[in-house]
Amino acid sequence: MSSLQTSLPTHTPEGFLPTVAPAAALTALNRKIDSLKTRVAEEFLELAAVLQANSQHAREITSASHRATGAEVGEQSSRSIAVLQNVLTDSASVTEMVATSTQKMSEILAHVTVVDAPLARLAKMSTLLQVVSILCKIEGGKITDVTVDTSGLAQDIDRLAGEVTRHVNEIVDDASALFALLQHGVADLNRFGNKERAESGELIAHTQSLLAPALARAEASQAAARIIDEQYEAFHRATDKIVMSLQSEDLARQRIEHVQEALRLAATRLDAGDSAASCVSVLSLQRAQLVSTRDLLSDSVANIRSGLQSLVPQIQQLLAKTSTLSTQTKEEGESFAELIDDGMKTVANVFRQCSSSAGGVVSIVNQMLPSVKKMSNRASALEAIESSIRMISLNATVKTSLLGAEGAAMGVLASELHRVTTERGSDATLVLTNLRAIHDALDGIGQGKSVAQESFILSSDSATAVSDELAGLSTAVRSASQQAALGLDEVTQLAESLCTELTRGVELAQRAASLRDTFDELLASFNSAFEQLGLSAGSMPINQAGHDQDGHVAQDLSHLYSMHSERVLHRQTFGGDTAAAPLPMPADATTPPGEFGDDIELF
Amino acid sequence: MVDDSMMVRQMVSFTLKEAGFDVVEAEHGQDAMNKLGSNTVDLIVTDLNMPVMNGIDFIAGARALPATRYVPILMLTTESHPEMKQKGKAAGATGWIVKPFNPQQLLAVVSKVLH
Repeated sequence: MSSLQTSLPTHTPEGFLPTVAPAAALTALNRKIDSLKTRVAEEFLELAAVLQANSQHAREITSASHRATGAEVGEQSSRSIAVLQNVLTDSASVTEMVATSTQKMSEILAHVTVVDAPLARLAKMSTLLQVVSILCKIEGGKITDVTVDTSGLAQDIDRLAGEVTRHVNEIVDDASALFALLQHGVADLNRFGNKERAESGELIAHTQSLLAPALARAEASQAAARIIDEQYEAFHRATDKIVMSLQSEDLARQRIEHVQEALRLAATRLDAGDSAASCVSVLSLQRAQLVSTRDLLSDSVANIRSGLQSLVPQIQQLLAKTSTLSTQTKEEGESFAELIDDGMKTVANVFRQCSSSAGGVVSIVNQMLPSVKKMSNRASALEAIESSIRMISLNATVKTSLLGAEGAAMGVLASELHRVTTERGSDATLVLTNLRAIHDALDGIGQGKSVAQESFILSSDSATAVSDELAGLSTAVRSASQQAALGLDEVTQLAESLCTELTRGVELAQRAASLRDTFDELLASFNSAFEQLGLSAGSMPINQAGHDQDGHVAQDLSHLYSMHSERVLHRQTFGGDTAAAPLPMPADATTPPGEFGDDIELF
Repeated sequence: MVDDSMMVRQMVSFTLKEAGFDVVEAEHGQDAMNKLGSNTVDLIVTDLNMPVMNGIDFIAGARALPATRYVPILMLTTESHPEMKQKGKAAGATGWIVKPFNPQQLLAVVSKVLH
């Protein structure tokens, strides 16, 4: 280490007479400091430009690495995988929908079969009611009690017989038609359903055979992208240290400007006739500041140089990773693209067949549904019949009890009516229960229909969409595979270029290290100025602080005095600003450590 | 980004641009006030000691503008004295960062004040 770091002139200049005006010596010194400041700024700005250019280069390398390893296929790959997964999910849903529809239609068929016998009995009920009505009229004619009118009862029975005939006939007709339709429909459903199930199974198997390698490749691609990004991140972290070191130029500039400000003030005082001895403490401090600034910049330049050097292996690692990954991309890409091409045709064909079968099932269900719904809606008519029969039966019983002994024959009729009501009522209930079950089964088919409406498989262009999507993936993979070698060349060239730039940066940093020599020359000039002012090291208070030959006190001073405190000291020394309160040392001035450390505070 | 030091402006811009931000640079408070007229900003980072208009006056001026009344303002300065921090806070600063800044920390603070 140069003795200029800390050594001040130690001889006592007895009889020494300055050959130049004292103030002029300080002004000349200030001009030299100007040149130094400019040189520091130029060197550091050049290093900053290198850093920024390198960072831009690293970004380009990262992009090229992504291209070389096929990591950019990611978006296409994700979309294709989503389509394949959609096909899988859809196949399962449609198969379930077909199975549900088939099962529900079978249930409906069973219910229609069950209602056959009770409907036949209900059909006979009409004849029975007509007989009861005739007998009612005959027996009613024999009744002498004019207070009880039985003619209305016969009319009600007649009306009811008509209603029963109409409704039962309609239901019987519907049931017959539905039965025939369901027999064929369910058979068709079973046939299409089985076909669809088999094709869907085949579709799932083929889709999975494509999906599994596609997923594996996408995962590998993501892993490659992650590795590349991690390398770039490591590069970036290394540049952070350089960014911090480069900022020392700003700190140095401010310190140098404060030194210049102090020298100007001292020159003014000397011009005003003050003695050089009155400036000695401040001038000593300025010299110490220059020494510490020199050391600060030297350390920063050394850090920048080592930082730039450390970036070279980062880039080489990125290159090595890219090389490995792009080789894999090239080797595996072509075979994967062929797999997709082969699989794509199979999947598209099976998809079309499956889609057609599922469409057939939906079509059959759609044809049957209106008839099933019509049958289901007859439930209200049956409910009306059942309730009418009960009312008439009740009416007949009431009238019988009003007639007393005279109504014995009517009582027999009422009993018969009650028996018919009870028997046919249970038939009507049975039919009603089955119609409700048909209604519930319809709900199940309705849910299946909503699946069908949202189904990708059942949309008209879906097979083409699957085919196009897989063709897109195949093209992207093939392109990535072809680009791999090309991309690797690009990355290699960029990395070599960046390494060259980094080497140039290291050279610049080495050149910037000569700033220390420039500082030392300036410090020599400072010493000369001291001599010209007739000052000696012994008269400087800073020396009394006991600094050693390595300048440790000078360095401590740079931490001891904040920019603000330096200015206050200057004002107190030169401007007589004695009113300014002494500032606490930084140790007392620091804010409590926060979330981001001592140097950051959010209000 | 307001700072009379080209180096600091470059380093802050470099850090923020690498993180995806667009950066408008100004050399001092007055320059920044002029640029605020033609730019919409989400965050201001300013130095304290600058020629023409210092950081405290600039913050007061920015806070008087409707467009930047509630925009976070971070002071990035070599000053760390509590008295100066208090002045910055009173003028309307959102936070105080002592130079030299650590890029990762700066980004963490920026992220925090923006969210």
